[in-house]
Amino acid sequence: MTQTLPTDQDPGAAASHHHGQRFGYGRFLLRMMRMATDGSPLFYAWMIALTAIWLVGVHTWGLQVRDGMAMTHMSDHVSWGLYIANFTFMVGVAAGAVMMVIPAYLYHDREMHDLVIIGEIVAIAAIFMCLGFVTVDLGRPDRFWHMMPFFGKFNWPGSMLTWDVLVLNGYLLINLHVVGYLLYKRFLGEKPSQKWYVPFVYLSIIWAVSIHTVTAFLYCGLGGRPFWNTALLAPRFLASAFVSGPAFIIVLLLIARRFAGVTFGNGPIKTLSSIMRVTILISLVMVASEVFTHFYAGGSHSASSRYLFFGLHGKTALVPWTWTSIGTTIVAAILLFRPKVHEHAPTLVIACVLAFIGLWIEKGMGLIVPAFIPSTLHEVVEYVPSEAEWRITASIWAFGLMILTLGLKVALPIFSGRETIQSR
Amino acid sequence: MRAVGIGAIAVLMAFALRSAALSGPEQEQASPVTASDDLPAKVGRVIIRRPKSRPAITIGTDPKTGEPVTANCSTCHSNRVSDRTTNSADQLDEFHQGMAMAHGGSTCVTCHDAAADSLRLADGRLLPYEDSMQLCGQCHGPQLRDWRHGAHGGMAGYWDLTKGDRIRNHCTVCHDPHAPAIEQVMPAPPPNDRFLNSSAGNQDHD
Amino acid sequence: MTDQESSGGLDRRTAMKAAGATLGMAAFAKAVAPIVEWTTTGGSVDEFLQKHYRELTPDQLEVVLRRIEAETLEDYGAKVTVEDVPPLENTKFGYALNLSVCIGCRQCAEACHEENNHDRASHNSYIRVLEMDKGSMDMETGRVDYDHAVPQSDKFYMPIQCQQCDNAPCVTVCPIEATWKEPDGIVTVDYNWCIGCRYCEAACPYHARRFNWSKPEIPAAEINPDQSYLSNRIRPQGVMEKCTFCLHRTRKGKMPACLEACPTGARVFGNLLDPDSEIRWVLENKRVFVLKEELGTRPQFYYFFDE
Repeated sequence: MTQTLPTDQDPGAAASHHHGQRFGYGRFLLRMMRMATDGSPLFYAWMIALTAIWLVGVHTWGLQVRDGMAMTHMSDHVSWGLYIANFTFMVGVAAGAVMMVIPAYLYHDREMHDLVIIGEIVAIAAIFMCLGFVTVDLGRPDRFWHMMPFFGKFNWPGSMLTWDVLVLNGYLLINLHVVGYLLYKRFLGEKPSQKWYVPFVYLSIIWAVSIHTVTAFLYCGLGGRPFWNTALLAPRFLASAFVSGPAFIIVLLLIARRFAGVTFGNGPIKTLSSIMRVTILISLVMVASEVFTHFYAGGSHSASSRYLFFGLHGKTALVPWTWTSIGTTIVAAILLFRPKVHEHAPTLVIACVLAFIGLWIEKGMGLIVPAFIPSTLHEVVEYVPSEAEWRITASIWAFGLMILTLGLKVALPIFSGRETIQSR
Repeated sequence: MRAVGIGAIAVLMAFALRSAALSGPEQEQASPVTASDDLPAKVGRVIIRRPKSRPAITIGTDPKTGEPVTANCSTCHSNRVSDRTTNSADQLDEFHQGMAMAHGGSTCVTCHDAAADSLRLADGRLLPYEDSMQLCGQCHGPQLRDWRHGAHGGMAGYWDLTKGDRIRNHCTVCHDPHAPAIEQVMPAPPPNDRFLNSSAGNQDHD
Repeated sequence: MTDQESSGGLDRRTAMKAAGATLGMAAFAKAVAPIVEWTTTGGSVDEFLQKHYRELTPDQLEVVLRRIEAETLEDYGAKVTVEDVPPLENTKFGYALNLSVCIGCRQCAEACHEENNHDRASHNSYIRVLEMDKGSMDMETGRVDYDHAVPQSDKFYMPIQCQQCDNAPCVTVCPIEATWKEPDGIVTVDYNWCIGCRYCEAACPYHARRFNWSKPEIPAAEINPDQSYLSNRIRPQGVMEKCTFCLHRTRKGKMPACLEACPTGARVFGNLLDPDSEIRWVLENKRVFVLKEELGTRPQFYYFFDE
């Protein structure tokens, strides 16, 4: 993954000479790999468990490629399912990480600045997961090169999917560059050169908005799917992204503080929970607004919503999911109302977990699947993911957590100054 | 697939043939392209599956061969005058028994001149059986117009007459003249898509 | 790891890492075994490297067609001819369907099933026939799985297939131009280029596209041997397919299979650019409508009623 970084040419890389020898970016990456594979028994156990889950999923995916996507429970009626649901949600998590970048760089929040690398690593892991979910959804992954600009036939700018390929990979590269560069400089004990990362940080802010906007456009541009064909979809995506991203990061920060000895003040938690307080309400208001439009006007365009909330023609597979989502999100919103919630870790963690689950359902199964039910010919064919789909999905989550773990394992000691070029 | 298609046509043809008293086997006849034969490039013919020129009625079976014995209409009707009011086989004592008659208020003589072994137009002119479309068109003008423009009645072969022939159905291929409404048939099997009709997750159709 | 550890610890650690890596590699090899197996049986290197249909030279296309014939013989035991049938000049295909006379017998769907070499188990067809309540055009009242004598007196029947839209959403959304509109108006798929993302299936408002969830199964004796690259050749697993108005027939001047199968003559097919064609007469003299006109897809498939 890191070979894609063009930062070998960074002037900082060439300029750093310590102990009489040049410590280049390539050597730094090797050093990081060594750091990433050394750890406590708990770390090994965690990584082995994730690897095992990942490999089980890889195997299942291999079977899916070999024997066909009949292994999934998708159909010509519900042609996208759990994979694309998770993809959509993870784009949100990736975009949501920008809620650390904005205070850290735009408003020069010192405490947030010290932790922003965590958000960026979360974004990187999330984007890798997105790419994974798209790949396992392909019927012919062997033909991936047809999608590569110049080699294949890239239907840009017509197809929103080509935009998504560009913005997701672009966002990945920007974040890899910023994280890699800042860590490298920190490792060398040098002051990062503003021009080598500040423009990219600003770019990443715009880009974070773009990845989720483009992903929403992927769906809302389809006139044949009334459930998606709403101008509110992109704003709704952003609002929910700015809940799920911070929710994940807050929990991660609290874990890092409790178990990894990362020390920081309460400022970042306060900022993130304050953001969530607002965005979760905006998100709920937008859902309510959609629900009102569908149900008050009625008609065939409301059929998907009717299916989602109450079931249609006696078919109710999504009804428990959606009410769970609404319930957890509302409870999370109420918990976040608690004054100084950032100082009450249990309440905050519960709120974040509930919000995360709620939005995972709302942005995933609750957003992707009902657009296909009823189908464009108004047939009601239901969808519940198959065991293979769950295995592959779990595998990509494990893969994302592996990247996140390794990223943090390397980044936290360097960023906190515990691991530097001196400490060899 | 063609077997099925032709099978379906055969089913419908069976309706037309059901009353053996009046219908004979179909025969194919070529007729020139009418609407567009001025276009030079068109070489294909439009072949219309017309009815046979003259039907016959079964009057009994040959005791030796077991073959049905048939007679022309005029064999009896040259001296038995058709009752102008008869509009159902039930009203007859002999012959034509069991024939379904469900065609508006028509009586036998609305269309037939049995003594002349011929069809009969409303103005009394006689009309050969193979031209029966003209007779049908007296009442069913819109259908005849649509048929002439290729918008009524099944067909097969070439849409592009510069490349080959087209075979067209005649009224009586699909419609029994005595009971012209299309009868119910059992449809071909429905689709068997993944999870169509299963409650999700409970069943794996693979 | 912070500072130098004892050399013994480091060795042990290195050894354990090596063992772990070996085990990991073995597990990984096991995990990807199905993919390795698939690459040796699933498709040839030539297929993997094949260019987009529209970029193939006539010679390259010839090689591809013969290769597909050989693959069909090997995989299905059927000797078939796979042609490339180019579009006709000055031709744009249009289709009209008379809802007054359709009796819902599904002969069109059945003919499609057989003509286009569809998977037998799923009984796939590019045509779905909706049985709808009289007095409503709301498809929500419709059913495709009816299994009783037709026509029912309180119902009407609406067969739906690809509408060959002039403004086709499926073409717009395809990320790799694997589906496009031909000069004669037919929206085709290069089955050897499609990556199976199913975005087109999400975009199509008419349920016209189908995905090959597994490799189609057809007994050799039932395979229609008259095949073409862009239409009825047996599709590979994992790609999209759709109605092509039987271009392997219609581009040779013949009627589509669904039209020939229709026992009631509900279907009218022809060249929209020919003012004397039957389809033009229908468009000019009947009150026709298209499905979901409000979506702006501009279908080239029209419906009409007699009365």
